[in-house]
Amino acid sequence: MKAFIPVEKNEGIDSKLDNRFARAGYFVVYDMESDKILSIEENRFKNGAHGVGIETGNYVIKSGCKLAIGPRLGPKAENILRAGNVEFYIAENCTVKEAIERYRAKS
Amino acid sequence: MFIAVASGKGGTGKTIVSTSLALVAKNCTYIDLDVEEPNGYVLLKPEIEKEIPFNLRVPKIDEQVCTFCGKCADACVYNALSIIPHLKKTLFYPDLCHSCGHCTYVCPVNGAIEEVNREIGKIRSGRSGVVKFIEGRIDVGVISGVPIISWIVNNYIDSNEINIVDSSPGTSCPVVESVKKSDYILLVTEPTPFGLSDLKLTVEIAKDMGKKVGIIVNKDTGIKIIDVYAKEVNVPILLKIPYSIEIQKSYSKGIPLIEAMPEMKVKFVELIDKILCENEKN
Repeated sequence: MKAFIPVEKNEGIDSKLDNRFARAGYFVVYDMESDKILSIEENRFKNGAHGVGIETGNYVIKSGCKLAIGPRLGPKAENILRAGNVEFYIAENCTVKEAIERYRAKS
Repeated sequence: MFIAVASGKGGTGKTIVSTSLALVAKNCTYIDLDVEEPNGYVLLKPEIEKEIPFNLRVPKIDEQVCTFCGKCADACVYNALSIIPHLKKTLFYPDLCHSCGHCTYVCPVNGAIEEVNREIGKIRSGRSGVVKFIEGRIDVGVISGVPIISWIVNNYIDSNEINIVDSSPGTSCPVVESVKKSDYILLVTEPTPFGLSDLKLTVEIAKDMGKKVGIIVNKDTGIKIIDVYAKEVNVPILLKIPYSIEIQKSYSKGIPLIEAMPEMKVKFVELIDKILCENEKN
């Protein structure tokens, strides 16, 4: 399973989660099976005027993620994640590595 | 001629000014473009002759025909569409749609996207004595009034006649859309720091657009805060309406200013004459 994690800066597995979902600095796509970061991309939507939540939601769907991890979610992003059956797990004040650990520990 | 009445700050008296102007201008058209909450009708009490729905064209996707290729969502620069291929779902966000038709244009599948009407408001028209009355109104919950404003400006304004447009407050898109084709912008303000601050923003916008502009000070208490600024930027103050409990009382009863205070009627006649004269000179 692939996980989508919005982070502040590109610092690999130690990147800190961004407080914002759709307007985060970078998007991490993480592969839960191989335990590897598949991609870290700069968020090119973050300065958009409208519909950034949808753009990011579309990105999550397109990248095939079934899980998203972050502190909170805007209404538009939530709407599309719900429609796309993407699980949302709340984690904050942590790195990508810690977020994955927390997600695994809960189940 | 097209005179737009605008203000940066809300509640400064656009409707009092625009209805008074309409009543003294005679044979003019009063157009209420404060589409989120039009209230000119309260003072003008028009007889409404026609009410027509205002529709936008928006896409409707047939999920039985759609192949979920996602080209429409990619093409939409306003992010009004989401396609979820593995679940064969489509999502449409009407408030983000700008009715550009791009989705329908790029769709490779015949019959997958149909454009349908979405009603976002109403246009009412009628008469208040010799004044022609037009009003745009958007439905509760509709986010942008710009399309209806734009439609009214392009279809209801006869440049051979006097048109008085009551715009919404502020300096955002609806205001720009309401005033951009005007010949003259009247900016209504009040002598308070808030009034001044918002006036500055609107004067800048009007000057950017290359418009002729004049200021009306409402609720004038004698404080010269607006006068100082007007002199600085070389914009004329055309009229001052006194701060008066009587004006407020008559307004809350729906009595137009020039009826409640006949001495103001003279001033509004002078005002409209001055604006019309200046327009003819050019």
